[in-house]
Order: sequence, then C-alpha cells, then structure tokens
Amino acid sequence: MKEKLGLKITGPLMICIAVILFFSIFAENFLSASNAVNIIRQACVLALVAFGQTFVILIQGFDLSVGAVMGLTSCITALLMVKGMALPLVAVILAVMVATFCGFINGFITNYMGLNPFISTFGMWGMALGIALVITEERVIFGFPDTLRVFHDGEFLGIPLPLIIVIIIWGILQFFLKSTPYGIATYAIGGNPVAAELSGIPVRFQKTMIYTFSGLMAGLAGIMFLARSNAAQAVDTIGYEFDSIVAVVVGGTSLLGGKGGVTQTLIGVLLIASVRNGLNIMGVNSYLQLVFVGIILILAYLAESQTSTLSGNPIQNLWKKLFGTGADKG
Amino acid sequence: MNLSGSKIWSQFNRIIAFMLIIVAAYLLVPRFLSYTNIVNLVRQTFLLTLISYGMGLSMLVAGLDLSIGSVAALSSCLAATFIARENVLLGILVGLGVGGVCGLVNGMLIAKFKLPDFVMTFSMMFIARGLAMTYMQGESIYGYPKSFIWVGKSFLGPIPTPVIISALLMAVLYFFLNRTTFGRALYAVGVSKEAARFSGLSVSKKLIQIYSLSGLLAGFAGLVYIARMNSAEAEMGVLWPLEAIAVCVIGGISFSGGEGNLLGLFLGGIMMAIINNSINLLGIPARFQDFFVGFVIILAVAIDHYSKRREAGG
Repeated sequence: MKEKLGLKITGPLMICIAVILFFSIFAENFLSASNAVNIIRQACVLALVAFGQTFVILIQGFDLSVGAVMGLTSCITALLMVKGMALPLVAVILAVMVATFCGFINGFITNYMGLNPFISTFGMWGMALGIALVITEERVIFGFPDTLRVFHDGEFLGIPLPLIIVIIIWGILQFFLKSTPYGIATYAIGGNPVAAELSGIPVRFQKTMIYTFSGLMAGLAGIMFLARSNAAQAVDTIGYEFDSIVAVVVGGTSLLGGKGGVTQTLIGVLLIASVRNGLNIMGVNSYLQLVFVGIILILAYLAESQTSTLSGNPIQNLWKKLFGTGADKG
Repeated sequence: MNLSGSKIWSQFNRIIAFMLIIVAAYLLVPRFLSYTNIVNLVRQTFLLTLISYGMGLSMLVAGLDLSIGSVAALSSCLAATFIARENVLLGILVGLGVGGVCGLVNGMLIAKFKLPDFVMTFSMMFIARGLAMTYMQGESIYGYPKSFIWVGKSFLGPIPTPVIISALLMAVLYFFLNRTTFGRALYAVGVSKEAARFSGLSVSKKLIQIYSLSGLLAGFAGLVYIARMNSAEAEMGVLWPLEAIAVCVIGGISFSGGEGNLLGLFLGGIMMAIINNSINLLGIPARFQDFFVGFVIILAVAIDHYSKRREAGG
C-alpha cells in the first residue's frame, strides 16, 4: 500500500489544476474566496450523487436513474411540506426512503433478474421521472417552510454545512472501502465477480445493496438540491446522472470496475464544479456547458485508456489511429 | 438441441403476447378499432419504427446509440434554418449531413479509440443537445414551404406520407440486411467481433459505417418529425432513445448483438404504438408515458431473459 488515501498525482488531478489555472487567468473573480465557497456549495450536491455512483461503477455497473430519483425525492418532500401532510423532517425521511427503494429495485432487477444495469436503471429513470411529473402535475412546487435551507445556507464554525456533511460522508465511505471486509469485497467484485463469488462473497446481495446505497445517496442529494433551489420541479435534476458519471470517470475510477474510490471522485467533482463555475463566469450558457462536459468525459476516458498503449509523437499516433490501414485491431 | 424449433417457439411467445395486448386494448379502450384511431395507430407505428432503425442497427452489432434524439434535434434545427428560407433541398442535405457527421464521430471514437459505445453516445447525446440549444436559444423555427410540409402531413390516397416514407426505408434496410454481404457481415460482427475479425472482416470499418448510418437515420427521422410538426425546437426527441430501446427490445433485438430483424422491430413498433395509444385514450396523463416506457423496457427484457434462460436450461 503506497498511498493510504488512494490519492495519486495522476491525470485527473493534473487536469484539475490546469483547469483552475486556466479559469484563474481568464475568468475574473474565479480565484476569490467568495467564489471558492460558491464552487464548494455547488459541488456538494454533485459529490453526494457521485459517491453513490462511484460504488456502482466500482462493481462494473451504472446508475442512470440518479437524476430522476433526485427529482422524485425533492418533489415528494416539497409536496408533503406544501400540503402540510408532514413535518419537514418526516417528509425528508419518507422521500429518502422512496429513493432508497428505487435503488433497491434497480439492484434487485439488475442482480437477481440478471438485467444489464444500463437497461434497468434507464427504465427506472423513465419511471421515476414519470411519477415525479404526475404527482407534481408538471408544475413547480414552492412556498414551503424554509427549514430545509439550513442544508445549503447553514454554517458551522464558518464552514458551510453542506461541505461538513460531504466530508463526514466521505470519511465514512473511505473507511468503509479501505478498512472493512465489505469495502474490500466491493473491489473484489469489481475486479472479478466470478472469483469473488468463488471466494465466498455473497456477490448478488452485495451488489444489490450497492445499488440501494446509490438510491439513498441520490435521495440525500435531492434533499440538498431542494434546499439550494427552494423549489422543486421534476426535470430540474435531470443531468445529474451525466455529471455524476463524468465526475467519477474523470476522477479516475475505471468503468471496467474494481479500480478507484471516493477520494478520486471528490477530485472529479471539484473539476466538474470548477469547469461549470468558470464557464458561468465567462458567460458561457448552460447549454454550451453540456458540450464541454461531454467533451471532458471523452477526453478523460481517452487519457485513461490511451496512456498505457501509446508512446512517441502524439499527433503521429492520432493520425495513425484515425487513418492507419495496418493490422486492424477490431 | 433443436435450434430452429426453439427459435420458432420464442417468436411464438412474442406473437401470443402481441395478440394478448391487442385483445386487452380492444376490451379496455373505447373506440380502439375506430377508423380514425387505426389511421392514428398506423402513423404512430411508422414514426416509432422510423426513430428506432438506427438504434436497432447499432444493437445488431452489440452496440448502442443513445444520441439519436439529440442528433435529430441538432440536425433538424440546422436544417430548419434553410428550409424556412425556402432552400428545401439544401436544408435536407444539411440535416442528413449533420446527422451523418455526428454518427461518424461516434463511430470513429468507438471503433478506433475503443471508447465504450455507451460512454461515447452518452456524451454525444449531451454534446449535440447542448449545441442545438445554444443554436436555438429557446426559440423555435417554423413556417416551412408547402413542398416540405407535404413530407410530414399529407396523404397519398388513404395512407399518410410518413408511413410510406418509413415503409420504403424499411424495405431498403431489409434488402441491405438480408440480401447483401454488408448485412451478413453486420450479423457476424454482432455475434462475435473476434470471430468476424479472424474471418477477415474489418470490424472497425463496419462499426464506423453503422454508427454513421445511425446518425444519418436520426437526421432523417428529425426531418420527417419537423415536417410533421411544422416547427423545429432544440428540445425535440428527448425520449427517442428510450422509446427506440423499448421498440427494439420488444421486437426481439438482443442487447448482446447479432440477433433480431426488421420485422421484429416493426412488431415492436406496433406494440409500443398500441401501448402509447391506449394510455392516451384511457385519459392517463401523457407524462405517465415516461413511466410506462421505462416499465415496458424492463418487462420486455426480463421476459426475454427468462425465456432464453429456459431454452438454455433445456
């Protein structure tokens, strides 16, 4: 074990530093204390979803439903509070339970019925979004007590409360992944599910629990998102499935499973949040940001998969890759 | 193992399910078999199959094209600019060209750089959508010349034009898939890339061709769509990939590649159209369709999975 935290000065961190440097030069006020706090507050919601996504990707899965599940959670919470049917805390607990249940369904269908995670979670995406749209009647829900604001505005010793929550959860997950048998089993399942099964790990059960956990994290993120926007709309959180996968992959967790962790994800999240914030300051609209984030995902994946196979002049290699007529590698 | 026997059996299952859905729709839904509704159903079926061709082809080679909806939006928004200025032919060429280029980029990166199809087309989904939204800035482009609207809205005899277009396209694709070496090669690549390579096929070339074709078809579907709506906006087709996957999996095109055919896809289109149509006629909120499409996908794949496992188990 070379690094205790699993932190390496590799591609993702370098890109992160480069991006921050770039925006410090070209985006005014990017490198100010108030903006840094701003970035962190923005990043916290993404960090929560991305933690869940990390676990799912570690076991060679995907969770495409997180964005829609977040929306469902915030809509349920908001509706319960607006209609006065539950205290804020009860509303939050109920909604997070629904999100967790969505995650459980994902896990059950994927692992006990043997469906490709892509299909089951994409199906869940449609279902969660559909339910959220139906219960809100496609309206924006607002005008509930602002008790929840504390999850976004709150401070403790001058540190934003969302950041404290994220750090605590990160600490727990980091400990779980690196120092408990379940965490090590997670890596084993991701590395080689068959070998893990043979060595006595209840693979299906643990995978199901990981999808359930991803649902739980999406639920918490949905609550934090609600606290930030103070209004709930079913489609507002669509896009978090994309951002969270990008954050995880950019951080360096391999889509092939068994490699990576929550610390890397934290870096990925910081990167995505900085890019979005910097582009905002530079006046790039949120649509065009999608383009940038998409390109970053492709580049991150390329950087990860190409570094090992290529050496020499990169432009020559690129040319060879694109137009080479030699032995076809399929 | 009697391979052909089990194949017929699995088709038989599908046809029985198909019959059951029609009977259920007939019993539950008022006016299901009225003339106007049948015309409606036929039109919906062909529009659904039209958006599913690209997804079906990419699934045949064990891939996936999630970007079809966004690529359709981008290409038809760009095309609409020209078409609204009476440059119909140029607009159509731009639409098809942009779609093809997006598909080509998908194919290049998937085949040459070994990006997982999911990662690449997922990224393209957001890239194309972002570009389309940036270009349109929330506006929509409408008011096309009559000659273009004809493509989407008119009838040839009793049959809506989009139906004829989609049927013609299906005939062409059917010919390609079943009567040419290109089609045979696709199935070979879908079944096993390794085996296809060892038998001398250029797998990466096939992948690039297929994804380009898928992009081209998305551009084409987008053009038919805006002609029908007489308006183009950046938000169109968000649900297309979901619906196309549903049509394909109901139609028996397997995610693992090399399995399924266009007739199955057509059957899937009919079933999806009936389901959507019944939801509408029963007065269930339109937005509930999102839920239903997701549910249907999972159900269809689960049934497929179970029947396959039973076959494998003997």
